[in-house]
Amino acid sequence: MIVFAVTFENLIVVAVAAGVAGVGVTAVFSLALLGGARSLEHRREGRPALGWTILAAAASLGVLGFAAAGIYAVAAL
Amino acid sequence: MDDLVLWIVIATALAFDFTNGFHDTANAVATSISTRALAPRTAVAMAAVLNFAGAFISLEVAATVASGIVDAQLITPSIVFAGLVGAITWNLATWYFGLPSSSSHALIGGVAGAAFAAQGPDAVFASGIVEKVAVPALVAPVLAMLTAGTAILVAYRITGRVRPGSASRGFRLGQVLSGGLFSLSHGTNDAQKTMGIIALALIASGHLGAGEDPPLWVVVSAASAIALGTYAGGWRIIKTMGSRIIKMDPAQGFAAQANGAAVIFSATAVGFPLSTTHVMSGAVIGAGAAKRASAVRWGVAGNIVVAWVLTLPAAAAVGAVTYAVVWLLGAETVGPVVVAAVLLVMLGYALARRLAAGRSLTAAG
Repeated sequence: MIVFAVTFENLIVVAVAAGVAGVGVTAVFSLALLGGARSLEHRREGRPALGWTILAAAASLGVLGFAAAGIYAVAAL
Repeated sequence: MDDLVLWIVIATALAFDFTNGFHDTANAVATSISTRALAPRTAVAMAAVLNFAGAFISLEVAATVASGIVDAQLITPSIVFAGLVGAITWNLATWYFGLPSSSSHALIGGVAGAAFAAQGPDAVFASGIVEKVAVPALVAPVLAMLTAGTAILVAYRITGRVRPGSASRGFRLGQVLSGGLFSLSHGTNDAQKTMGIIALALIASGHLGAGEDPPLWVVVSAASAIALGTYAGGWRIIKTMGSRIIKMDPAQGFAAQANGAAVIFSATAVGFPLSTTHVMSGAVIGAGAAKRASAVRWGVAGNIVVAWVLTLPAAAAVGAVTYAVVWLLGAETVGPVVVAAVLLVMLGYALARRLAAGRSLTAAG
């Protein structure tokens, strides 16, 4: 009768995936914030800001990637 | 008459779905409202739309809820009806006291209690209860607490030297995104439970083959009911989740929501039936405790845990008593009709009294 047993393997998959996705998306979003804030500050002060801008852009793409991966993971299964 | 009973069951299932959305709005919007990332009505409107959309993403959880807990061969529409009454009763009781409890466990408890009363212990699979209720109930809050706790420490570490105003604005924006993802995952996960229960009634009445996916009209009606319930907003629980467990800052709100969504998405992807309420409560506690353990109001958290422990037996008891009443009146004929009519009159009376007292239907009184 049981279509989907709550197995130990499933439990481990959920724990690892949730940990990587949750902590990962928070870290990447925080990096986007850091990059964006530093980039603004540096530009305001007339200092080079390219590195921070690239960090902000790359991290923002990372956040979108995490969101897309989450939706895809559910939709594909 | 059989079809009348089936339609009563379906209407009751959609009523349960409404209370599920209404009860669980807090999971998606409480942190955003608490940190002022979104205005309350905007938050619930966005959550409602995304819950609706989420219901169409996957049918994985619907397949798990319809089987494994009770023996589908022994289930009749009257048992499903009595189980739903048990679940709705528990949802309304916990809403009244502002306690975020699991609608899924209430549903499972109600159906298991009614099945036990109707068919005896053989109708209920103890292994299913352990696998789908007990283990997930332990795993969900702990996992969400650990990931949200780790995540908030990482976030503070990275953004520690960013000006507080900039960081708060950024995390509020992040909350809009993570709250949206959480709502989507809630629709994906919870609307399917109602689809599963309607499918169970359709299978029991011979309108659907065992193992078949629910038809489109079931998916659309379940998505609509949970979206409407979400829009109604269970403000008492929103208050508990958003400000009574911890006083959260935008970074904590973001970490709680992002990690809650991550846990739910991961679980849904493998058909692991986690409670979104357990996940979000655990994430909120984790985000608060990681900053400072004393920031968590452990008394409130303790009350919530007591409600979680009581959910299954309380819903089961109401489900069993409801089935007994339905059986006395005529389980396959007039019983569900009379009980549904009596419940509608009681609900109408309660709502009329609330409106007469000048209070809105859902706001904390």
